[in-house]
Amino acid sequence: MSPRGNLMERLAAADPRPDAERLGAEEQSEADALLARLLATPHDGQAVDRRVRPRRVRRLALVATGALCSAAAAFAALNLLDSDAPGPDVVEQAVAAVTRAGVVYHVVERSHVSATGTPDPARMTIFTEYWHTTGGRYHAKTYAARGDRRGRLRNDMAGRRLPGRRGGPALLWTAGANTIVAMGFAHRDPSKGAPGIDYFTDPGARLRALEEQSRLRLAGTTRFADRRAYRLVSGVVPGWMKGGEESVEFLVDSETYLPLAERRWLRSRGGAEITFRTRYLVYEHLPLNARSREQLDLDPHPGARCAQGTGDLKGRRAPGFPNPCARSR
Amino acid sequence: VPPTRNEKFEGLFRENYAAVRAYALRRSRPEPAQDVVAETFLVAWRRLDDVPADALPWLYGVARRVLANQRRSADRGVALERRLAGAATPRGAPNPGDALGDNELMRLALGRLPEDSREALMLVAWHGLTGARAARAAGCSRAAFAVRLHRARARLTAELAALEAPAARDLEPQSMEVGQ
Repeated sequence: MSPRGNLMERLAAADPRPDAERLGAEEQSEADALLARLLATPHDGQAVDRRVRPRRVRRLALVATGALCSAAAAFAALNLLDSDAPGPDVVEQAVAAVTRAGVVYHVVERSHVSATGTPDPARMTIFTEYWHTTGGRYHAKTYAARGDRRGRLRNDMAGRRLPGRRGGPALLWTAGANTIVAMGFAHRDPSKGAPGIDYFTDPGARLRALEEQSRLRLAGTTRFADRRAYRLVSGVVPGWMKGGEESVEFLVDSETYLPLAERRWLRSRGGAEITFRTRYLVYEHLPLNARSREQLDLDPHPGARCAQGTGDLKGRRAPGFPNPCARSR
Repeated sequence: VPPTRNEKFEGLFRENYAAVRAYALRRSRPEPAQDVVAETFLVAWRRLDDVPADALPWLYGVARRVLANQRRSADRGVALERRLAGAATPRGAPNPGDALGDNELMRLALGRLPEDSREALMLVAWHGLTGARAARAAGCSRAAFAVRLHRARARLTAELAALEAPAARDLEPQSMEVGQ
């Protein structure tokens, strides 16, 4: 089966209402009632049966209720603020403490994702463990959630950034297909949307730079996971997708300036909203040595198939580590 | 004896009601979906002479525009809401116990696509329309729809990879051409 066909079949299987065209007795009577109302409606465009117009009054009431709920949530967020903001010297010291070459950053994060306004609202939890370097190496493993804990491995990706690029080639193993495929990846254009961590720069330095560019501002301090944390917020900014909006809030460790938590909100022009609430369970830097370097490679996946095109990745297409699908191996 | 206007409309309605209702339900919550169905058939009733023989793509096109109008109204409501709140506040508490499912992932990725890409994919995968009929429903030429669908597939693939890949919110998988 071709990947393209597979994609459309997966999409068809994800239809939230596969039986939507089947009418039960109740739906049939609704249809009959609507038909009767329409047939009784003048069709010269002058007079319209009020019973087939949308229920705008009820919708306005819902909007007003939503506004009240949002106002209450905003008030709760404001209460987290305090005036104990750090001076620049403290921040500079914190950044300097983690801006080191020869470091492998090791991260374990748990993201709760919720989507509303989509045809079928979704909520899910994703666990991710990844290693990255400022030299452009990147390896990440994504897990499903089992309750609030890490579940089975879903996929494993490792690759490298090409010099002067925002990304580069990578190999991706997916558990569903037990297959390794070659792919490319890239960071989004960092100038668009709410800012994020760039995995090829030091996270602390990146966050500090974003503050200097006024893309993040210090909004106070708080305590998080028994740590004193700075709260950095972007406010609502135009999204990277045309017509959308985004915002992000980081909690960073006041001593290391490494992120502790992140809340990212996106809203598409069509009204769909997605919120990522990420808790960085581990954000540490390891010395770059043989052991930590191994963590930057794709894990071995015995029995995995290699997709067409993965066997001969050379030059700029080489993933940056020994290719498990290489023909010569 | 040619059918009367009422008979013609009734035939159109009975033949297509379930499909139009399904179209609206896949894009909206149940209550507004009922409004969309009612508005769509109201337009068809008023413009019965304009409805082509193959009515379903035409009706989908009308429903798409009704939905767009409905969303614009909702956008205005959200903008008002945001001004009242003074800030954009994420809503909807996640349930940590929910596990990641392939269908959820697919729908989430679909929800992240631009409107025209999402529509193209849904018309083909969920409504089972051929390219020509889907193009009529989308209000574009067959060739333009083929391009749109092709791009939509690529975008969906990228979004899926982004969601399945780590730090999904920051990475944007691309085709291999990125490294060329």
